[in-house]
Amino acid sequence: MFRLMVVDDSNIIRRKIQRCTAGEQFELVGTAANGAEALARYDEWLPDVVTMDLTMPEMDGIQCIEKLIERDPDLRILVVSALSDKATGIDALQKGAQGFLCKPFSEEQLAEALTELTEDVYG
Amino acid sequence: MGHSMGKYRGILASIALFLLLDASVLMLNFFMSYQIADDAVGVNLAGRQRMLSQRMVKSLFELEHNLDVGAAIDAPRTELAQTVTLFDQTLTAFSQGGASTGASDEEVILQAVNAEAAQVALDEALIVWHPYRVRIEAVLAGLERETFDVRPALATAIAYARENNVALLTLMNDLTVELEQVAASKATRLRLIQTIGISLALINFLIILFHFLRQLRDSDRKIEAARQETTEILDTVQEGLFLLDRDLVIGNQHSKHLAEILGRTELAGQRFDAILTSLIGEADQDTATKFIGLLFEGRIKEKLVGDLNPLSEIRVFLPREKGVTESRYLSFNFSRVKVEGDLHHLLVTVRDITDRIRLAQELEASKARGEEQLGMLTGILHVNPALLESFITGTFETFNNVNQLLEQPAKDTRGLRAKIDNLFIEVHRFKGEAAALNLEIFEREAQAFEQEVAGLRQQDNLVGNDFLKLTVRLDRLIGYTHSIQQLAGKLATFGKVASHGSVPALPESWRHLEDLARKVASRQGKEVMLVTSGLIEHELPDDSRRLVSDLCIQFIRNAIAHGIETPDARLESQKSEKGRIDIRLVRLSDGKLELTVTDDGQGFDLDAIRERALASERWHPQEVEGWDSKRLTSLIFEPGFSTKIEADEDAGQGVGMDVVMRQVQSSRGRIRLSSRRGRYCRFEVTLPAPVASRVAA
Repeated sequence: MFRLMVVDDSNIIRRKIQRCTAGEQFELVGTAANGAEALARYDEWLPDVVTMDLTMPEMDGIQCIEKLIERDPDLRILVVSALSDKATGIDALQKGAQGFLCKPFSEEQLAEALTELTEDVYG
Repeated sequence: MGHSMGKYRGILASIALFLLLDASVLMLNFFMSYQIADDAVGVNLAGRQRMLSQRMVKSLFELEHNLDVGAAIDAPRTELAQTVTLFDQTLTAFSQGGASTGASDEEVILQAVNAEAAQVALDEALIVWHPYRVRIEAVLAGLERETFDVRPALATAIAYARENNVALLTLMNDLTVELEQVAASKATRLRLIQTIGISLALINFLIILFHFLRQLRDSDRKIEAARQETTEILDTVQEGLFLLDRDLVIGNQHSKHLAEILGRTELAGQRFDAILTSLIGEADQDTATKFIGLLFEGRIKEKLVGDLNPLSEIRVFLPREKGVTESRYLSFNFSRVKVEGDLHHLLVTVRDITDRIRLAQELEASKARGEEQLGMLTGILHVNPALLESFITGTFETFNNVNQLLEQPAKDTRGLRAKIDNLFIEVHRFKGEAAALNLEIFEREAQAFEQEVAGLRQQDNLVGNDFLKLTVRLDRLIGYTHSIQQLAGKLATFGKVASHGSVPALPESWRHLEDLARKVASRQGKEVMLVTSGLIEHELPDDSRRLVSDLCIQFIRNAIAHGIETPDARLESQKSEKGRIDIRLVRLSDGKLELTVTDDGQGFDLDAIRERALASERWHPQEVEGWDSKRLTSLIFEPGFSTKIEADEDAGQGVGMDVVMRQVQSSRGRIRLSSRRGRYCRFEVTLPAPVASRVAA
């Protein structure tokens, strides 16, 4: 059971991810609407896996990824973002994210991506 | 590992055997050398015994002489004592084994002699020696006592020596010879052993060499076969394939097509980022390099970053001849290559996707155009709804036919030519209908389509792919038709509401013929009047009406393009400026339909037709010269035949009359043609009776 945190400024996306991860593999420990909120609640939630939007108010995804990886270098981060700027996506990976899922996505695509992201971590 | 050890087991065993053999031979050699050295000492000492026996006799004589003359006897006495001791010691050592004194006073240990002949000689020598020694020792003992007369004892010893010295000498000689023989035989054996040992080692070495060479050859052959396979693969694949290492250096091997796709040779060992910079510029190269770097990082999930590949669809500028660059679209795909869990390389696949992209762009553009022209369509939907509906149905049929033609595989050039002819006919007919209904967009598109087909017709080497652009055009036409269909549907509902369901008056459905005549005439700079009879009066089923309409369209176009003269020419021929086309439809008593279309134009120009027939080189000139007017006029029904030199929207493609002929034939009708030069031209078509059930009530 992985502790999952969802970081996205869109309520619809947050709910969608929440809906498709409601299973045996993941436990949704919290959702944040921007990077600052995610960092503020990190110690409380202590997630294993994070889905991360890139464009958000207050603190964007890239900065947030950098700060989260400082706290937990083993944190699994899946960037979930639109494909308008590939270079930003690549930056996010360089900062420590391990995968990228392109918006819009289907429930199956998200499930597959999260499984792939965590396949080599303990059950 | 176990497997690879097995491969070398044979060779390792051979080497071990080789070393063992060498060691054995060497040890044996040492052992025998020592023995031979011992034997040499023995031979020496045995030889010395001969000398000693002689010296003993000599000392005895010297002693006797010195005593007789009263000289000093010390020297012979000492000599005698020493030789006796030495001889006895050595003989005993030979017999029983033991110590003796060597040539330089060192102690030597002798083994008891065990060669049979030597033993016999030794035994005999001992028998002779014992009494001899006793006698000499008596002499020596006598000399110790000063008053004692040793002469008698000396005489006895000398007498014994005289009698036995030769025998003793001979026996010692025998011993020497025998020991020499033993030593010689040992040396021979040693040589033999050495020879055998060396031979075995040599054979073993050759076996090792043979095995080694065979394995080397086998593995070389396998490597060569594998290399050959790789080369074949790399030469054949359509994609560009190469390996990329962490330092972004391209591997030594790459597929043949890579050079073509990237527009450069000598790629092996080159830096990929440098090549990218020249293709896509610094900024994009930087992003791409970052992405590639990520793929070499183990923590990144390869399956989850494919979307970010900045080179998945990239426009590049390839250098071509004379400093010209060409824009192409390439797709690079990167896959990790892991060997035993370690990642050293990325396999890069490069495809040229220009055609795909251009096609997609074209489709996109055509879609956009379709939407944009929807507005225009609305404006021209003044056409009678029933007619429009019939047009749409007919259009889809046409597209179906065109599509089938396009999809139909043609095996050879002839097949492709036939395909083109048939396409032309379909599209031309469609163009006529569109023009008749004043649907300009369709007419324009059909015209463009027709021109593409005409272009193909002139192409020498036709391949299936040449038809690809037609597919795009067809797609566009289908799009328009769908839009117009939707609009027509809406319009129909609207119309019903507005007119309370009243069906439009019948004449409306033929008005398009007048429109067509007017339009074609104005395009051709002519004036024409259309007179019809029977069209309105006879209510026809849809398919018959469509057929009659199609035929009229072609006849009208033909009449205006070929028959009716320009107003000036008409005036010169003392005709009215305005030409006249008569269309008459009658129902015969047996139910058949008879369509007559007459124009008062110049009639058939048989000379022009004959000239054209000759120019086309389709027939033998003599044959053409012999044709009568009937045969000549029948030519207008031949596909691709036209008397008009330059093609325009209305004529000259050589399609039109053959469409008529085809349509008439396929509905099992007949066609008759009459003409008078300068006066008129008339087509008479007889069609079978329309199927009763399909006649509208």
